Amino acid sequence: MSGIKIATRREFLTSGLGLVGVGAALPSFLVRSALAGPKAEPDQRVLVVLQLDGGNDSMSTLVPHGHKLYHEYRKKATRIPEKDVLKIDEELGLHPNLTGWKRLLDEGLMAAVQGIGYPNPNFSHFTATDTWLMGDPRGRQVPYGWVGRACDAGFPDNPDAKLAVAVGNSFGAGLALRGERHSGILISKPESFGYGSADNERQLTTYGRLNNTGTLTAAGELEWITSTAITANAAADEIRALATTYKPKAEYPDSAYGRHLRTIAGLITGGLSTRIYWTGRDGRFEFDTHSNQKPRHDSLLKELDEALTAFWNDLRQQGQAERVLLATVSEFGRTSKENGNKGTDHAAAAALFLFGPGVKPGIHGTHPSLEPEDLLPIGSSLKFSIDFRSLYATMLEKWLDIPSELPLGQKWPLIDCIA
Amino acid sequence: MNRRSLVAVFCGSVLFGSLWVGLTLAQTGDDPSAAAVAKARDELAAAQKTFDGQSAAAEEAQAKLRKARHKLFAEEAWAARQAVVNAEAVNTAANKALAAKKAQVKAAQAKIAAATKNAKKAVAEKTAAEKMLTELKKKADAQAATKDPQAEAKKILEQKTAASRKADEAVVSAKRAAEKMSAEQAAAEKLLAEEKVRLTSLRDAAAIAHANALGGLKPITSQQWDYAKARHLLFRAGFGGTPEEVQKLVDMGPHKAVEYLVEYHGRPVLNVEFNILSWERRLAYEEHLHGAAKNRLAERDERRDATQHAKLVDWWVNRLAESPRPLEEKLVLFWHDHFASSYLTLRNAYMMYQQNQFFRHYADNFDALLHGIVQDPAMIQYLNNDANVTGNNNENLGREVLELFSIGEENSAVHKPDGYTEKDVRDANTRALTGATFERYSGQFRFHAVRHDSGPKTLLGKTGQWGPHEAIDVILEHPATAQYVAKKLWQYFVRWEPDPEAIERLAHVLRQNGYRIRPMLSNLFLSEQFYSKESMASHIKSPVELLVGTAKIVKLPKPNYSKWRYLLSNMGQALFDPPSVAGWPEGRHWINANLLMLRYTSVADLVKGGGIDFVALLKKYKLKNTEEVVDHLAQRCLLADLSPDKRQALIECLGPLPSSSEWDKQKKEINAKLQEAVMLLLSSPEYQVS
Repeated sequence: MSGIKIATRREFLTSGLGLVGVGAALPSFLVRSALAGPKAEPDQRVLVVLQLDGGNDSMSTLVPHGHKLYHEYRKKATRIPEKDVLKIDEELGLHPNLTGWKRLLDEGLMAAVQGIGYPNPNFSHFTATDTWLMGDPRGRQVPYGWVGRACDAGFPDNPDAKLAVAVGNSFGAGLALRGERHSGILISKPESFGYGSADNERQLTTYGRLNNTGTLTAAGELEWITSTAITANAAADEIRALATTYKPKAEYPDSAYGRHLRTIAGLITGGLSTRIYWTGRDGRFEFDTHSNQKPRHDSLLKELDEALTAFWNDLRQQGQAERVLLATVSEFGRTSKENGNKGTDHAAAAALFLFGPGVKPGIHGTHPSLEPEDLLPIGSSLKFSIDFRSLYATMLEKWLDIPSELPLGQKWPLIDCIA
Repeated sequence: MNRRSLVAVFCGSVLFGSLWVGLTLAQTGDDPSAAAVAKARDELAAAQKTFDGQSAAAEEAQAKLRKARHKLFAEEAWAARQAVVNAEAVNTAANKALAAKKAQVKAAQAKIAAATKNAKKAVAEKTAAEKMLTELKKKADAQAATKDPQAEAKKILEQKTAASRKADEAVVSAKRAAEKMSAEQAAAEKLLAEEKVRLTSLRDAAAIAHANALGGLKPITSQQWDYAKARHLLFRAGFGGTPEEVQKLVDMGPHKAVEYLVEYHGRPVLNVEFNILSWERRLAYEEHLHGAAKNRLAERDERRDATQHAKLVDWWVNRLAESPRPLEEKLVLFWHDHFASSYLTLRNAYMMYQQNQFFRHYADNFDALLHGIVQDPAMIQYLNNDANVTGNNNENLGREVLELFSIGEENSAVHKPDGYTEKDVRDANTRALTGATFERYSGQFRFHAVRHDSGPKTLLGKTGQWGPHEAIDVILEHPATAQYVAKKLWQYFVRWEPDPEAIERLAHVLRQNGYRIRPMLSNLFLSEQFYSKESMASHIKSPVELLVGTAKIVKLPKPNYSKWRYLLSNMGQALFDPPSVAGWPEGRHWINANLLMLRYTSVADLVKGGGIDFVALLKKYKLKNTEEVVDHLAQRCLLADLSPDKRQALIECLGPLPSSSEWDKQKKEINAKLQEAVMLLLSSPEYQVS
C-alpha cells in the first residue's frame, strides 16, 4: 500500500523502546513520541554547517595584506586598508569587523583553509551551489546531497529522522540533507513547529490518523509529503519544547545568524540526537556583492562575527563546546580584481573557516598566487589547491567518524586541520 | 598515322610527362607519390563536388518532403476544421429546428388547454341548461297551462349539448395535433443527438489534425472526458472550483472546456479598486538636502512605499482569487517567478506594479516578454543594468537573460555543445545591454545611447553590432530558448519530472507560433500526457494555489486578503518578493517539516475563521449520512484518492450525522461538525497535491 518503510520504523520502535508487537493499532501520540527517537550521548560530536550564500569575497574576509598585488587589484572600493586589518601574520589578517573571530583564533578555536575549490569551476550561482550541496560537480543529476549521503553511510541502521536538521529558510538545505534513507528535517521556525489547529484530543487523534499512515499512491510527490509529515510529527514536540524553553548563557544578536545559532545551541544543549545541523541567513545570494560591495559586506561580516562570538561563548558556558565543530561553506570566491561598480564578480577558489575546540588552530594551505599568469582567464579567478570534497571528507572522517568514500564518491586526501 | 609519327607522339608525351612530374616534384618536395596524391586530390574534389550537388539535391528533396508533409498536415487540419464548422452549422440548424418544434408543441398544448377550457365551459353551460330545464319542467308540471317556456328551455339545452359536443371534438383534434407535434419534437431531438455525436467525433478528428499540423501532442478524445479529468483541468489551468464548476466543464466536453479556460480574453476583467501613487517626482531642491532633512525625506518615502506595497499585494491576491480569467493570473504568477525581481531590494511599489501589469498584458507572448524585460525599470534596477555602461560593464542582467530567462544554464556550453559560453555572458550579451537604463525622475525606461557599447559583438556564434533588442532576437532564434520555456511551463502546469519528447514537441509549437503561449497551452491541456496517471495529483501546490484553491472549494464568503499576505509570506511565497532572481524554488521546495505544518494551519485558519455556512454549502447535495458527507468532501477537495483507513478515521471523528434534510433543525452543531471535517481533511498530505 505505501512505499514508506514503516517496517523499519517498527523495528526501530521495537528495538529503541523495548516495545513488542506495536503496529497500526498504536495510538498516534505514542507513535509520535516513540518516533522522537533517542537522546544524544553526552559526548556525541556534532557538525554545524553555516552557509554563506552568494559567494563570499574571502579576500575581504581573510585579507592577503602582505601580497603587493592585493593592494593593486583592490585599489579602490573593496580594499581593506592595511592599517585596519586584524593581522594574523605578515601575509594574512582578518577583516576589521571580525574581532570576535580574531579572539577565537587566538584562543585556539578557529582555523582557516585557503585555496578551496574544484576543477573546471562553474560561475553560475545555481550550478556552483548545487555542486557544493550535492558534493558533486554533476549537481542535480545526483539524487542525494552530501549531508544526506553522509547520514546514509554513517548511520545505515538508524532511522532517526533528526540526524540532520536545518534551521531557518536556508535555500540549499533541502538538497544537501536529502539522502536515500534519511531526508533530514527542515525547520524555519522551531518555536512554533507542529500542528496547532486541533481544538481537542479527538481532532488531534484524527489528524494523526490522516498524517501518520501511508497513502494510496506508492511513490511520487504524495508519498514524499507523507514521509515529511511523519517525520515532522515525530520530531515536532521535542524540538518545539527545546527551542522554546532554552535559556542561553550568552546574549545573541537579533540577526538571522544569531537567532538560528541560538536555536541550534539550544537543541545541542538539550541533547537532541542530531549529528549535522545546517543553517544560513534565510535570504538568497546575500554575499553576491556585484556593486557597492563594501558597506554590505562589512555588515554581513559584523553579523557573522557577533553571532559566532555569542554561539561559542554560550556553548562554552553550557559545557557543550567540546562536542561541536562549525564550518562555513560558500559556492565560490570572487574576482581578485574589483569591477567597475565598486564590487566583485563570480570567481573560483576561496578560503573557508572552521571553528571549535576540535580544530588545529591557524591557517592551513597556501594562499593562491595573485600573479597575473597564475589567475584563471575568466574573472581573474584564483586557482584552487584543495578540493572542497577534501574538506567535507576531513570533517566526516576526523570529526564525525563517518566513512567518506560513499558520500563523496571516492577517497579524498584529508586536510590536517582537525585535531 | 605512320610509325614515325607515333614515335614522335610517344616521345613528346614522355617528354611532357616527365616535365610535368618534374614540375610537381619541384612543388611538393621530393615525395615520389606526389602525382598520385594530386590526382587523388583532384578526384576527391570532383567527388566532393558531385557529393555536394547530390547532398544539395537531397536536402532540397528533404525540404520539399518537409514542405509537403506540412502542407498535407495543414490541409488535413483545415479540412477537419471545415468539417467542424459545417457540423456546427448543422448542429445549430438542428438546435433551431428543435426549438421551433418545441415552440409548436407548446402552442399545441396551449390550444389543448384552451379547447379543454372551452369544453369545460360548454359542459358547465349544458349542465346549467339541464338544471334549468328540470326546474322549468317542474314548473310546467305545476302550471300545465303554459308550454312555451319549456320548449324554449329544451331548445337551449339542445344548443348547449351541441356546443359541448363540438368542444369535445375540438379537444380531441387539438390532442391529435399535439401528439403529432410531440412526435416531430422527438424526431428533432433524435436528429440533434445524432448531430451532436457527429460533431463530437468531428471535433476529436479536428483536434488530432490540428495537433498534427502544429507538430504538438496527441489530444485525448471526447469519449475519454470525465469528471476527474475536468476537475484536473480546472485545478491546473485555473485554481480549482466547486463541483458545479467542474460539472460545467464536463458538459462542455474537452475542446470547449479548454477553449473556455485558455481563450480568456473574451471574458471581462476583474476590476479591483486600487489607488497606487505613481512615481513621485523629486523636487529639485530635495536632491540637495543633507543630514537630518535628508533622513526625514528618506524615512517618509520608505513609510509611504511600505504602505503601497501592502496594498499592492492585497490587490494582486484579490485578483488571483476572484478573476474570471484564472489562467491569466496563473500566467502572471508564472512570469513573476520566471522574470523574478523583488520589492525588498527595490523598495518601490510602483515599479513592481508596472512590472505586474506588463506581465499581465503580455502573459500570452514570450517574445514580447523577453524584449520587454530588458527595458523594465524594476528588472533593470534589480539586476543593476543601470550600472552597465560601455567600458564599465555589469554582467548581472546580461547573465540572467541567458542563464535564467531564455536558454537556461542547463543548456550552456558547460552542458551542451551548442550552448552559450561564459564569453557570450560576460562579453557579448552584457555589452549588448549597455545603456539600457531608466529615468530616475520619471521611472520610465530610457536607452542611453552614449553609454551603449556600439562595437561588434559575437553572440551565440553570430556577429553584429548588437543592441539590446538585436541580442534578444539572436537569443530567441536559438533552439534551446523555446525548449527551456516549454520545459518550465511543463513543470508549472503538468508535473515536475520533464518528459523530453513531449517538451520538444511543445517547444516546436511555441516556435511555430512565434512564442505565443496560448496555442501551446491549448495543445498541452488537451494532450494525453496532461491527463496521464503520472501527471494527475502529482503537482505540489504553491502557497498561492493552496489558499486560492481553498477559497474556491469552500466558497469563502469574505476573504481577508490582508491576512493572506502574511500567510503567504509565512509559507514561503511572499508576492512581489521572490527569494532571488531565480524565483521560488518550487516543487518539493514548497514543503519541509515546518512549512507543512504552516500550510496546514494557514488553510485551517481560512476554514475556521471564514464565517462559512457549511450547512448551506452542502445541504443541496442531499447527503444521507456521515459516510456520504465524507465521500462528498473527499471528492470535492482532494485530487488524490483517500485511503479506506483515512476515510474511516474521518467517519469515526464525525460520529453519526442525520440526513441533510434534517440539518437546519440543529444547524449550529452540524455546522461545527462539517467545519471540523473540512479542516481535518485539508490538514492532510493528500490536500497538498493537485
